Amino acid sequence: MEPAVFFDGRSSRRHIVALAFTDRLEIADPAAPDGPLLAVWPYDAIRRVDSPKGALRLACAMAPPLARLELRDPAQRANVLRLCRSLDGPGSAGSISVGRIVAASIAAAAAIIGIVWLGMPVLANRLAAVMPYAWEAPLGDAVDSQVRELFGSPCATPAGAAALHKMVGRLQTAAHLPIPPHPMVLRSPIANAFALPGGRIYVLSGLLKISETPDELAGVLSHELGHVAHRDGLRRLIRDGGTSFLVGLMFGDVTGSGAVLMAVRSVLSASYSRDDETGGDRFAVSIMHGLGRPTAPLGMLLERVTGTGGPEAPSILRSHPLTAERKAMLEAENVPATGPALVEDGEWQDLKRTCDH
Amino acid sequence: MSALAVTDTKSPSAFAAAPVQFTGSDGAFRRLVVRGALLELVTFGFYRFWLTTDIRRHLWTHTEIDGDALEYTGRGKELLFGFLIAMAVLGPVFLIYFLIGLEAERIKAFASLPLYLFLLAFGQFAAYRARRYRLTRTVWRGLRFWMTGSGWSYAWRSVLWGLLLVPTLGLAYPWRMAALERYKLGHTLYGNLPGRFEATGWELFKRVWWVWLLGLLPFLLIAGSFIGFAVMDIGTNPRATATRPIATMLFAFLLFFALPFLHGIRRAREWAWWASGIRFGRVAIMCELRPGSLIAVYWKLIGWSLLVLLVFAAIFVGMTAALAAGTLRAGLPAVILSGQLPIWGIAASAVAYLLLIITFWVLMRIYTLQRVWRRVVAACVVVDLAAASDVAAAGEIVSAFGEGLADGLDFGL
Repeated sequence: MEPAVFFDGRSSRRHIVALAFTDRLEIADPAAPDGPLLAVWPYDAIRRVDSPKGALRLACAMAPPLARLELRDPAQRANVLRLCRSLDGPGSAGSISVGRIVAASIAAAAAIIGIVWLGMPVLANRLAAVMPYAWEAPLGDAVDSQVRELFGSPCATPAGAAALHKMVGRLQTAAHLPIPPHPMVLRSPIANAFALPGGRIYVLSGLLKISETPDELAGVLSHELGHVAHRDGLRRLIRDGGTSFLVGLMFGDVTGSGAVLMAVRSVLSASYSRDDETGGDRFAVSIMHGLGRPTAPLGMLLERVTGTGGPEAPSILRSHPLTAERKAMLEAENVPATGPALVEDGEWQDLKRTCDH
Repeated sequence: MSALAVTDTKSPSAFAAAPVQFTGSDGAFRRLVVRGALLELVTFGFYRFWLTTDIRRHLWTHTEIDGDALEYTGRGKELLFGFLIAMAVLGPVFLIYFLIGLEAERIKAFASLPLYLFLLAFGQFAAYRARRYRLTRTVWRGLRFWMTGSGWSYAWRSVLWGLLLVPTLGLAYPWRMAALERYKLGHTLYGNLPGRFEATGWELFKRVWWVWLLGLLPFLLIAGSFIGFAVMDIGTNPRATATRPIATMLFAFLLFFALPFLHGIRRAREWAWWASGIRFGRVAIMCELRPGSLIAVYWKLIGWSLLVLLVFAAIFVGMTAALAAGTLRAGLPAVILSGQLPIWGIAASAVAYLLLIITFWVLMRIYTLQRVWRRVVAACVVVDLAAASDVAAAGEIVSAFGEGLADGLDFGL
């Protein structure tokens, strides 16, 4: 018979022990049969813990937490299994309910996705609404230097800059932005424009080249003013930050799951920004209406930039609404020009040539 | 009796060697991680806390020192709570980090990069605190291990030594390891028996310097042959100079093929060096790990990984064919780019992708964790264990906050 081994949880001393199964489990030192018992464990307080191969390892809820009794003898083990009815009770190494973990995890994941999908846009809108516009300026300033390094240096002839400021000034009379917009042309072959929080509006010189009339460029600029007015940059920052944080709670250490999380994030933020772009177009329409200028030229410019080749398929990853859709909307909202031209012909030529030096 | 008489005449420690054994079976561990990986998939990753715990429980329980197995008393719930608390702390930390970065960017573009250093230090802090959690959940003969020392003190040591690695091309690595292990083990106790680390950086350097040099060689050779190609353009005798860079390139690729061997040797020597440096009072560990055993482990990992990649590549090709056979004529990449992938295609690729990562994850756990553990443990003996035969209990358990931080910082970087 293999003897039982006992550790009292107070010292690392290894006790070979004799067991007596009376009304409780009596653990005695066989070398000192008349001495005091090493321990007395009530059967109902005995718990099973992780057991090594070929042994049954026990702890006792009423003993020091690390006191351990190891049984290898089959008869002794059978006795314990028969007499101790709370072996897998509280404090044991009994198996955890996997079903409960699965159910709780799915509920938690559903809650996270729900918060991200429905709660985040609301939270971003509310937070952006209470944040002073002045807080946006440092955000734009911080990204400004990176934008210049990524796209190109600013370029301006005095006449070109004057024309651009005149055009934006006219748009501002209808837009009434609480912060005055800062337009700027960057030297870059890309035909695009974008806005940063704090009212910075960048026009890449590629867009100047492809624009044919002042109304086309003014449409783009008023779309960007819309982003500033709606504080889309700030809202995106809050949304994306919050989404990353919440989605990051899931799939902690599964290597490679980062790609899945990125995909989830880009699908979500694409759907948010589609709404932002539609909002920008609507803002542009109201500005141009307010100034008595047509909206159709913006649609024509969009088509020229994206090209007309082939039908575009809808995609959940697309961040902008379809060009055809946007063009149709802008044409439906078109009005004949009733107001004065936004810039004179000569000024328009200066503006187009602002990067030609 | 005569054998006993002989031992008495020698130094007692040389003969009082107690074995360390791993009694677990490969199959049981494989089942544990496969089941755990699948559960991780259906729980959106949340099962990781319980899986990590189960893996440790398995490894600890099947590791016997002098016939008595270790026990891991940590629980998955503790890891979950530790993670949630860490998230509550990391949220504001990331926000402050972001705001400081913003200010730095205003001054100069990309000026916020040094902030990564802080995040690295934070990661080391988390690693120290996580080790403390694991130690206080490690029990042997009714006593727990525990740790003193400061996580920040460790973090700055680790980062400063880490910075030294860059200018020395990794040559400072042995001394960094030794310094960090000295700090960790110097603050580790078993009951009231203090630990320490006695191996030196120089000893590790002597064991691995040539592996380090050989490992560096392919990169040097490739750099050299690129310079060779550049020189060749200017050279007067094109034929003679042309063969030399190509030969060095071939040699370099051969060396890349040899990297698993080198890695196996290096890891084996490092493990043996590390284990043999551990002391608790007069108790010492002696470790004689054969490099061959780890080399086999790494090659098995590579073989299985290649097989898995092949299988998934076949599935990918099959899916493309199925798509092409439908109304679509374009190949899969073109289909994805044009956004015309049907929804079942997206779902199927996502599931296939997740299964692929999960499979790799399982392979990594089996080969780089359990197989290495098994071999390292089996190669060790404990000397003069009698010195730990009556150690008094000491030390309290700590929360899993550090583990949570380590988990949280994992995706932050």
